[in-house]
Amino acid sequence: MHIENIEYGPEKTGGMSQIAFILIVILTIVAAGLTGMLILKLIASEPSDASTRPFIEDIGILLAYLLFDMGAIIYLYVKGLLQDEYVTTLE
Amino acid sequence: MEDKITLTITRRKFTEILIGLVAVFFASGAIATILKYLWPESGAKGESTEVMIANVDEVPTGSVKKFMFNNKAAVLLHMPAGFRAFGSICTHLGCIAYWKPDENILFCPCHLGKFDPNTGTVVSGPPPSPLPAIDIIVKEGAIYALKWKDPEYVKTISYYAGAA
Amino acid sequence: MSLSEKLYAWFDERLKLSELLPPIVKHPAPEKVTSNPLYCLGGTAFLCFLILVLTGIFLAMYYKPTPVEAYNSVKRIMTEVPMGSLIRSIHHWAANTMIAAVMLHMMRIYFMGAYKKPRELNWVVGVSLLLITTTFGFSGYLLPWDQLAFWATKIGTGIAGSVPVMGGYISLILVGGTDIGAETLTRFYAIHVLILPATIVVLLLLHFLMVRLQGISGRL
Repeated sequence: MHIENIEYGPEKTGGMSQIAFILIVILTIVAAGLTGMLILKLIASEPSDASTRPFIEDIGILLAYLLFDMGAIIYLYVKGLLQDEYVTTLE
Repeated sequence: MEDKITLTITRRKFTEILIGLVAVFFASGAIATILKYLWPESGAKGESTEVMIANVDEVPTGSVKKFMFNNKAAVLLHMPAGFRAFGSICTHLGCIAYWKPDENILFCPCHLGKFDPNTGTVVSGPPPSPLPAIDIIVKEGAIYALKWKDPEYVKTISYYAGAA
Repeated sequence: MSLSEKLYAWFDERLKLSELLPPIVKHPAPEKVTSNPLYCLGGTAFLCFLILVLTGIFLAMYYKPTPVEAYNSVKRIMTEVPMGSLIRSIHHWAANTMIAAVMLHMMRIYFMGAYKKPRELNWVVGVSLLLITTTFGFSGYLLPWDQLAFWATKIGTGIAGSVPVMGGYISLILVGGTDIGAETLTRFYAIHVLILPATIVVLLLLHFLMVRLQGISGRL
């Protein structure tokens, strides 16, 4: 089996998909904010502070938030914007 | 005929572009952190504290003592006119100049640069600027190196990077 | 079937050797060049590289990359380790031979016009390989931590630092600070043993792939 082509169907329409889209945009801004906080924390820290346990835990928490944020974006994207099935031609 | 330019962008495409931007932002953060890791730490150079070079009796007239000043090679000379101290890294290309008593000069062997031992100025050869002088003080029978006489000048010499 | 034929058949059934090997092994060469030694220069460089990798691995077993131990570990390799002086000397001479071979190879490619279409990209990869080879030499030169090594590195990093805008930063990252010291030794060792070998393997793969695909060029 060789997947030749993936075609998406037309976007879903309706109120729910609009809400999903707006939520996605908001979540992406949140993701950008989290990433910014991460970068700031890493770059502006002294090595002696950055190797302490609380610091590393804070980074971990930010990463976890980012992960769930991206998860939510992906869920809303697939369920809210894409069709329920997409067409693939199989060879 | 209608003169309209229409730009269509689907929500899907917009979302994908947004997520792409966040991904690029994240990647730049990763790169910034890696650069921070690789960057050498700047040795915290505060005010240079007094460094004892030698006791007065160890350096009779006409002799020299090599010492380290702010991690750079330096030399103390006992000239007829008094004690002198200079950074001994040649300003031409960074080799170490040494005391040559027969010619009464500080001599750099790499490209034959010669410096005056009383003032540090260039006597002959390719060095473009004098050796930087070090302020010294003699107290209680010992000679101490205090600071560069002209730290701004030292900052302009690349071979003394980090010393001022 | 003889033993070797049986072995080959065993592998062939599992790895499709009779489909894989002939395109790699049977490569056409232009007529009249099969006996010209100039065409051997690239292979000579590669052979030297393999020797360098092998002797380098053996040297890495005894060399210690700290300012306190470096010189003594090299001295130990030369005087106390069995065959140590032979391995270090082979490493030294293979390095010099590789640089000579690579430069001569480049010259023969240039003068025979073997960089022209469709081989332009291969020339680019080749020049990158040249730069990596010289960087190998430069980074390895510091490792014995003697006067020759120290001052050669001082000159080299001084040149790198004299580049107009980026010079100060390049020098800072190479040297690991303002003065050549322990950080420099460690960085150069990492470059020589980890970063450059990985890079040169990738580039060599590309180089050989293109030679196979494009074939050896006939004269001019």
